[in-house]
Amino acid sequence: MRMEMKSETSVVQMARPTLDAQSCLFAHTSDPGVTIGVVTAGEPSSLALLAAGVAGMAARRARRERSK
Amino acid sequence: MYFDLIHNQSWFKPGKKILLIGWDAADWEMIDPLLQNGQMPALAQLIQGGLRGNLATLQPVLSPMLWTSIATGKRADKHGICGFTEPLADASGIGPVRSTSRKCKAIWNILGQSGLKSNIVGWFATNPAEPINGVMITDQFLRPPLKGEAPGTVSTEAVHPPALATAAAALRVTTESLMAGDLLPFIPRLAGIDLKTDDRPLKLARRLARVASIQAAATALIQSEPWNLMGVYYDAIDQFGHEFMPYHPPRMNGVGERDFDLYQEVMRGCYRFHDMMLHALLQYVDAGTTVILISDHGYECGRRRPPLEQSKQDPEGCHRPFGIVCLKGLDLKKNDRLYGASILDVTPTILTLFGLPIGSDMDGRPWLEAFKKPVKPERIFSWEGVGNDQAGLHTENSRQDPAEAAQAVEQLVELGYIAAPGEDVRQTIRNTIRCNKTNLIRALLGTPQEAKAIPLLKELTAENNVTEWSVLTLASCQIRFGKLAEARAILEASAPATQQSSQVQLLFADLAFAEKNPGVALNHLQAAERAGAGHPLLFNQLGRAYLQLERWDDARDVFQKSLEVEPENPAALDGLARVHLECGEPENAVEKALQAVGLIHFFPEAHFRLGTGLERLGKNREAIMAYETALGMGYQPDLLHCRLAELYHPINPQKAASHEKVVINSRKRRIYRADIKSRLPSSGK
Repeated sequence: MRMEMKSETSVVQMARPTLDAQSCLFAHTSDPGVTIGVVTAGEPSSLALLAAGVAGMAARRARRERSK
Repeated sequence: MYFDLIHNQSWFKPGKKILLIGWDAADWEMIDPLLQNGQMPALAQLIQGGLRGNLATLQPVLSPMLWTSIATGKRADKHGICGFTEPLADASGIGPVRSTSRKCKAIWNILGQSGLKSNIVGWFATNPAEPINGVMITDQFLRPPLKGEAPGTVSTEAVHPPALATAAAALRVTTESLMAGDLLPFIPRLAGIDLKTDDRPLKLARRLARVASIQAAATALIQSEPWNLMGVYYDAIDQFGHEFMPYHPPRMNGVGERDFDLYQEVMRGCYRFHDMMLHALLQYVDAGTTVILISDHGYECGRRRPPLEQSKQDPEGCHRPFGIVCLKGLDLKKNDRLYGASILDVTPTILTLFGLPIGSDMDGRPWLEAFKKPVKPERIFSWEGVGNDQAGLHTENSRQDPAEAAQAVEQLVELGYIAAPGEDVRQTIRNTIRCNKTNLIRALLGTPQEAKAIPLLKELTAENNVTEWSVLTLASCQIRFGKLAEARAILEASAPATQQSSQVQLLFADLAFAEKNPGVALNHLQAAERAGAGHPLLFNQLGRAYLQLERWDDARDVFQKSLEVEPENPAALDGLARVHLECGEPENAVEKALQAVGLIHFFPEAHFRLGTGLERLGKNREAIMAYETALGMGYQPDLLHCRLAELYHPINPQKAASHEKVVINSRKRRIYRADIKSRLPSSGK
């Protein structure tokens, strides 16, 4: 799957084949002891990277590069 | 010279750092269930290490006005930002409200002239960026490129210093760069949505990209540019709310089951995303940094949400009068509550934290009760007009009143110097000026400056399209200023159908109260109730009438009814406090009065009620504090000096004597005035 879309509408259109509610970041964060955001032990979700701001942007870009 | 003056003061704290975070429309009613479920861990930590409270908003509940009040400590009549839009300087149309229309200094200007640096990101009404000591990325940083503008560029007007504009542009997150996984936490069943007929996921993506851009800019600046104040404003909770709050549980009437299923997680997701952003931002500050998180108002999220159609037509009707405040810092108390805070207090509190004086022309107060050790802030007459050359202000030439600018252009058109814009453009400009004038009037109502609203209302009612609102508001103001005959004339001149409306009946009731006729007021209020008004305001006024008629049980019933509709209701709580006092229940009176002043600090009647209850319980020292607070707010000075004299007598005779002296002098003045009056010839002679 391409990680960056050409137009705004394609963002949500491309979501269709990848849907899996279980993969939602929030499904894993109900435990108050779990740190969310930039410093999770495993690979952070794309939304966590978005929340991380500039550091996350770089990581998202890197992830996009890897997936090409 | 001014800079030196500040720096030589022992109380000045140049090493201090404050992170000020604004979440537009954040509300404890949404947050508390998420905190209880451990779903906002970053905010939970902040609260645990500091204080939390309600933050009272101002009227009208419009974000550009409110965020400017937050940044200046002043109401709109002083800061001059009166709406979302304003006429363009060349009168060719209207545009977003501009920082050049602000009439006073913001916190970043005051800090700048004191040698402190500010980084400000996304704050409302900050475009064009002021040349401050630090970095400013304005709210217009998020504006999508216009036709002809290269994508990925940011107007140099939106960034100070302009040299940072290119770097700032690279921090903007575009909607196109979002991935499917970014939306799923908000809409887990995205796959079931036909995007040709439902644009809500796209709207969500646009809002998410905007807020992610602010976060990117904030996290970049917080690391790379030195600062004493870092101010970041996020508008997403309000923007998500206006689109998606109707789908938040419980399901509202008018929301289909399918829509509810699809979008019920969006608002919870939005808050949790803000918690994630908060967590990220806090990674960049040390324990010595004071963190202040605020919202300008709340947002109805439960059963009091307006119906779907009504919320689209009147977005302001979705806003609740209390936002949130949460602050944590080495100087501040831990795991405590803050009561009676207002958005006007943010700037005075920040100045106090930096050890800088508060302008006496500011309308707010510092939260001294939040400090661990007693603090006595310095005061100066005003920050206006001093140290301006170092404050990072726009030049005088560029600062202007937009309405005046539009009027000047209109004059040039009339003189034939320039061509007239199309009639619809002129109409749009006129509407904008009228709308902003209306907002200014609303900002003045109920404040110590209310008298300024009367000439503005007269201007509005003199214009061609008089609105019912302006006429009735003028009547309401005239009642408050004792111009009862004029008010009655206005009300009686309204159409018979209008006279029967609950709004006009409420005004007739006000008039009757002013004429000291509670029985007539009660009749009008009962008529308003029959006309369908079930608003807390009506119940509170009914309670007021029953109190004056000494019908304590009826008063108790309506105040309780009022609290059922709106639990955070200072007037109803104060009314109940009075009922409890009259019924010989001082403990309950104290409890209710405390709740009232906890919601709104500037509530002299409730402080008086609190003092009375405490005095009856024999808690004289606490009663003195409450009475002194009420006195400081100008409430019934003669009565309060008397009571304070009595209470001080056994513990501090000197203070008792000073209060007695004030009472005696006041009596002497009254006798003297009466004597003079009796010697004057009457006007009829």
